[in-house]
Amino acid sequence: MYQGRIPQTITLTINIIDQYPFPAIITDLSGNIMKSNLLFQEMIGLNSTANPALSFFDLCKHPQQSELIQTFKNLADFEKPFSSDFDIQKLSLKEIIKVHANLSAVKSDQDILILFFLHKSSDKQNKNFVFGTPTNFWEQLTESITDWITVCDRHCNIVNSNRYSMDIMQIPANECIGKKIYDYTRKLNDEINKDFFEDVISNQTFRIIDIHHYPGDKCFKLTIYPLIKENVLIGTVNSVRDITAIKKSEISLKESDKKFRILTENLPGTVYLSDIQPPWKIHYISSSIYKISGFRSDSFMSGKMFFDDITHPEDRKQVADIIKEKIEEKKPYQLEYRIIDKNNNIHFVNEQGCAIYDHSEEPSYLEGFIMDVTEEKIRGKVITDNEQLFHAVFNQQYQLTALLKVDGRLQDVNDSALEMIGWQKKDLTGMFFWDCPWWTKTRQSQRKLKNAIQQFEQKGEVKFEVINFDRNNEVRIIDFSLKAIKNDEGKIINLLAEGHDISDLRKMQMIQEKMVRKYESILHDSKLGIIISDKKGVIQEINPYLTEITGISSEEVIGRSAIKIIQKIMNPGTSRLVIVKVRELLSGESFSEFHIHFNGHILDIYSPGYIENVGIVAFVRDITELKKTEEMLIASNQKIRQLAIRNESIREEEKQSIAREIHDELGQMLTAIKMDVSWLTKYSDSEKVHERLTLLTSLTDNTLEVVRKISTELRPSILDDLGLRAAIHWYAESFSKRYEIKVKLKLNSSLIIKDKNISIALYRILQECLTNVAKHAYASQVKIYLDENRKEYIFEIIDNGIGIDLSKAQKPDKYGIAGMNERTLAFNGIFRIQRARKDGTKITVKIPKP
Amino acid sequence: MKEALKIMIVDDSVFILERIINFIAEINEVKITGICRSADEAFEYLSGEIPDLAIIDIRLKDSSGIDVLNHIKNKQLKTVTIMMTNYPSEQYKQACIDLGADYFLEKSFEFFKIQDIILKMIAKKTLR
Repeated sequence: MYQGRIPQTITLTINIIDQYPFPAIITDLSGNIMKSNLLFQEMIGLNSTANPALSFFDLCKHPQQSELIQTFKNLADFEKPFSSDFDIQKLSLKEIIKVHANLSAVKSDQDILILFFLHKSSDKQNKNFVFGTPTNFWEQLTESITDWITVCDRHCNIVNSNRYSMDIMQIPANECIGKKIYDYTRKLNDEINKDFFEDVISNQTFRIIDIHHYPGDKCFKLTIYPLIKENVLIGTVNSVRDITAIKKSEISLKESDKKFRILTENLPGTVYLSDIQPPWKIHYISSSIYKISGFRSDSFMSGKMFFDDITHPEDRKQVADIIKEKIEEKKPYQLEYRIIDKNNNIHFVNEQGCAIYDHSEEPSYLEGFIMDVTEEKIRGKVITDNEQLFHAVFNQQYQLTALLKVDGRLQDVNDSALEMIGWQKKDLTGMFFWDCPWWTKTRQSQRKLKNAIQQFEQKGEVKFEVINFDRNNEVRIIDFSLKAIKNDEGKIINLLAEGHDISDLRKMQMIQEKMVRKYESILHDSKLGIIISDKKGVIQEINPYLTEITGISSEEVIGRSAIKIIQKIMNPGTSRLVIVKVRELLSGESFSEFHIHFNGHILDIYSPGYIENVGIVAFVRDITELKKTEEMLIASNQKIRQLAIRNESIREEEKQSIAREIHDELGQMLTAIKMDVSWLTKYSDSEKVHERLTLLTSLTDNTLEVVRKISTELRPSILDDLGLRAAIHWYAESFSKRYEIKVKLKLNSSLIIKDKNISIALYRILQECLTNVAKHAYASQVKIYLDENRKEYIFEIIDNGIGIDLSKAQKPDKYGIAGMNERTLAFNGIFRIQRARKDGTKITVKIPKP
Repeated sequence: MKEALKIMIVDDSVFILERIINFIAEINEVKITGICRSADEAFEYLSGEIPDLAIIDIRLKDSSGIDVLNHIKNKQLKTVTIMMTNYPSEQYKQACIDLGADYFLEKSFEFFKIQDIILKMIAKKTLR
């Protein structure tokens, strides 16, 4: 059903414009009307059927004639159909009719013609009708031609005839009565003779036959109805219909269809008709889709494949969205997306199209054109980014140099200006400069130019900006100047018009202005004090907030040396520090941050150094409140720590005392027992007693060992007796023995830690760390360093295990890290845990010397 | 009569003191001249008398026998020192030897050796 519609839509030809049920005209590319239908003639009030030499532009004062002509060209280049509103003036000049026109191009062998299908804008119902073909079109055509009807007896004698015998056979009806029907039909075609009719009568069959009448190049349709009464044929009813017009239309349609196909097949792209939504069922697609996709057009038209099947999955949504949006806006669409062909190669395609609307203005199909732009893309890609940028800027930098006659007519113009509008020099030469296509899109520009040229003699050289639109309809700002060219006698012989596209410059200026505004707003609204000086230290600017926090006003300081001001307003101690910092910045230092006390405030001063085009910048933050809070926090933390230290030392004392208790009471008693048993063993001769004493000795030894262990766990006496180094040695040895992990020690032998609390803290950290190593690290070796510098004790434990998961380690109390950290902080030390350089974990503890 | 060997014992445990005294008392020609139960008592004693032999327990209440050893060595006294402990780790032994201790004994296993040491000292003295 739909197959035939595309050709019909686009290829309505000269022959059938007469049949078109709305006003329609055909023009050439310049708008001259070649043919119009009666409805159009009626509309404009033209009585004669002759076509007077009229231009569409005579009837329609279109403001942008040149643009329209360009549109015609585009149409001829098979771009999207175009539609627009026009004001058409009746020939009587009294009335203006507002019409909506749909334009499309028809190409014959020599000419390109433009078809206008018009309807009054008020006639909303038909607004988009043109893209469809009137359904009753062919019926209208056939009804307009009336048949010659005859009734014959069974011997083929005509017994009745209607008046249309005149139209068909050029004889009056009464003259043919009593004559044989085949005598007439034979005249139309030899084969429709006596034998033919006798055959029909003897077979009693209903016949329809097309007759070609060659000499007259006419076509007729003959229909024979047998008249049967009680099973006996009594005669026939014959109808002869002139179907020449229909046949011709069909033939021309076929030819047009062929032309259309040839045209579409040879276009560098693919024409299609599809559903209005994904997956884009295809109703027609030209065979060139094979070139792009590797699939034949039949695959799509048979419904086996949808267009989405070849659309790049990443682009499908975008394509659907854009088309949907444009359908809603009733606008043509233009897309660029990727197609994946049969061999999985990617093609970039450019697609243009529009929706076809039905009688109720509902979109029913999409009609469009797809072009493979892969090569352009690839070529484009070769150009580097910079080159692209350069080309983009360069191409937009449209420059116009035109030589005008004194009256403003164009004499000569440069090529790039012509390129911009796509015109030939010869077509413009002699045209008034302001009427040239550069300016016709804005009347204001035209007026401005016209005034400048016409008033040149009085006002002289001028320079101003005019607005123009480029090919993509983007606004361009043209810096325009008009100068005189004089002869030797000083008479003006020509005008030189020059235009430079300064749109990009303006854009840059706007960006710059925006940045300046932003900069100023930062400076004025910031809740940071800002000082800017030049490279020599002369203050250029301060912001209001700086005045607010320091009381220094801009009048006092701008244009003066920063160092002198510092000396003046700060106390000697502070100013010395600040001046050192300022001098560093002046000598090129790129970063500085420090705190000062000033006027009862604590100020945090931060400078990123010299910033290009701005100067040396410093930011000043009032951190008085922050510092107070911080100090309070530190103080409270300190208190908590002190408490923790006290708690810890009480606990340690308790442990120590329990350890002693166990040792002194239990341990010594057991030792005494052991001594007695030894004595008994020495002085007893009884073997039985000896046996029992051996058992007792072993029992005592075991008990002693347990006591020793408990006591040592609570408090290793070695720490008190011999100090931290010996304790580390002892602990490391027992650890190594127990877990079979090698321990390497590097302990500064001259180091003596007098503060027992520090010793015990470090010893406890060691215990915790080595426990972690044994449990989690899978290490084969641990290195322990103990050293000191002038200020602090440094303790490091490094294992070669799997390394700690630092994120897990941050969790409170995981691996006892919080505890180790607290023990260190109790002495204002630093506790650090990190991954070792190769594998494993490194713990560093630094405790300031008391 | 030969002059008896002067011995001081430093230990904070009554039970141990009792046993060491009994043990030494079996030998003739010795005289226990000082019994101290802390380092301080030992220092006080040492300020008035110089024993030939000092038997010192390392672990003392609120102090350490090592301090007593240190005192003796610092004062360069001719006293022979026996260090005794229930915690016979290498570190202790090394520390004591480094400080100049003559003997290092594990209290519960080796206290018998005290007798041998004393006998040796007497023999040496007689020889002289």
